[in-house]
Amino acid sequence: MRKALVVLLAIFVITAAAWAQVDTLLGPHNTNQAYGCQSCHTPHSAKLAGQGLYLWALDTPTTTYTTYGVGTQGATSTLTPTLASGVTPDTQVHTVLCLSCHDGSFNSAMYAAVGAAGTLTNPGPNGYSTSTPIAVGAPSALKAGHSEMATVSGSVVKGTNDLTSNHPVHVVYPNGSTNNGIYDNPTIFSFWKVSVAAGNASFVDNGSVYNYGHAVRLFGTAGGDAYVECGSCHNPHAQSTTLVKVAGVNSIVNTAHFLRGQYKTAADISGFCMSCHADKSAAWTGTGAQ
Amino acid sequence: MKKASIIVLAILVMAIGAIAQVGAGPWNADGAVGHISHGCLLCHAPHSSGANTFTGYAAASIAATNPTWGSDWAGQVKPAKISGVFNNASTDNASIYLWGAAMTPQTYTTWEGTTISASGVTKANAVVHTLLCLSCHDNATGSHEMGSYAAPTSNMGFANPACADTNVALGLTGCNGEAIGNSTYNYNGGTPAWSNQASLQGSHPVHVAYTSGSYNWKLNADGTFVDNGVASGFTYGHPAKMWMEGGTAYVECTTCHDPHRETKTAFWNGTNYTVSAVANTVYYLRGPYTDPNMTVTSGGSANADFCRSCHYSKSLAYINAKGVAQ
Repeated sequence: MRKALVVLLAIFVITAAAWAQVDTLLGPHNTNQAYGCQSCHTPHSAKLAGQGLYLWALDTPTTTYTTYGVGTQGATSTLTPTLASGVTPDTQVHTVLCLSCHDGSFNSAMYAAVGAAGTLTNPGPNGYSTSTPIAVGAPSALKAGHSEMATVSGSVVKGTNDLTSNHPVHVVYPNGSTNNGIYDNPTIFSFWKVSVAAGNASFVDNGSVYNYGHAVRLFGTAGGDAYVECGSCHNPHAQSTTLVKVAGVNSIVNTAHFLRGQYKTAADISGFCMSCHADKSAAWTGTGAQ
Repeated sequence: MKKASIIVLAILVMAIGAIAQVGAGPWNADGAVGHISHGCLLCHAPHSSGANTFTGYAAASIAATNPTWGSDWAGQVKPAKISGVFNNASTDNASIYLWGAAMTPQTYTTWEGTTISASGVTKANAVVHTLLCLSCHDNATGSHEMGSYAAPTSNMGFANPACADTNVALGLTGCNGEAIGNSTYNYNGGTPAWSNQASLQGSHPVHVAYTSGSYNWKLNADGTFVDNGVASGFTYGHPAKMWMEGGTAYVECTTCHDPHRETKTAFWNGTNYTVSAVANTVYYLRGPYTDPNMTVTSGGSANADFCRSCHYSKSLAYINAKGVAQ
């Protein structure tokens, strides 16, 4: 009889797995726990038509954002979305598309179906189980009743279209100003050296020096610049599990917040940041400004 | 133990029974209304397809000439494109699936920026599996050729019941003909409109090559998927159908869509193809899918997995395989 129960249980588990409502990879990005890829993409009649714009199903912001800018003492900068289709690499698309929802204008057509309580929750494995706000910028732009998306918990709420309290997005990651092996040394901080070719940016160090790896994705331009965008740190397709390649070997690691690198322990959290900020890492042996 | 066996057997029998309920046959057995307004004749001609045999027969005289067909067409506003069945000056589509409709005259720009047209294509060309669909879904002549038909239960613009009746044309406009990049969410309603723009740049890539391996699933030489869902753990399967030409696998309209089944999917059960009783779908898709807007209670990751059945790198199987192509 026990065997029968085991078999029955197995059948139910298989059935349940096949029709599970929750998508473990997409997490809250599987809006309504049903839209799947349609949460953001549409196979027909996309809002943004053409190669490189990801068959985007959503409206994108057109207003100018104030960004954090470059460096600790640098002036703030601005981002005016001008999305370009075609073969020329468009780096800002990896920020602007995120702002389709994360600007606080998350549309009620999708929002109403997110959950009965009307909240987006993050059931990640690392204790982030509370309602997770997803908007950056000002709550003033939010629709009524959507205050839980006002801003990241506990952070400073800035004004409308103000991203200055958020991690730099749409800023250039230093590249080529000072060639010093695997490091690059601009005037304020030292960064890992990157190589940009044909619009693809990659770190010169492949993890052989910094064994956390460099899971962050930089977006290269045809002109040879490497940009940091939302999609640099975040992979919207994988909420809590990701692949990192260290010295040519792929490993599965736990993460949170759709981050591209391991992000679980305190060491991981530091390591993820240091995978860009070279001079903060214990591995750093370079010279130059720190 | 005997009891256990009986219980398990009973479950299996019930499961098989549930599947067998669709035994009426796959062709239109699911009550498809979008493609059967004239039965198979909507698209195929059993005789003289694409040839000139019926040249000279005006549409209005068909009923007198052939009462059976006339009855079949009675009460319908016959689409101009379908007149190609009877009065088709073109012969280039005669041997392609007995295609009864005139091929689209449009040259289309694809998502990748390349162009496709019906000029000179044969059934050996993968692109026919897109072009044939565009016989109707192009609206290139600018008239609402299919607008008089009964509203299909789904629409081409995705997930909006409000535009369910006439929205069968592809183009640069949104679900309801709205211009791209406007201020409303794509799933919202609007004034139904048609597109006659020769652009497929807003649609999922058609007539693009699917490269085997790396971030995609591996393909066999015949275009079938190497993965059977067992080793990879990707249990959804791979219902998409690649079209081969010159050793290259192409994604076309009918890679994702099976125009013969609107709400049921056919799958390989290990012995033969059968129509699933549980794996329902929408939009004539080849794999299980649920319209997330019409029915919010089911679907779940099955919807995402349909996409992942091609887009390997977005699947959990990819992570579990540490990025090694399967």
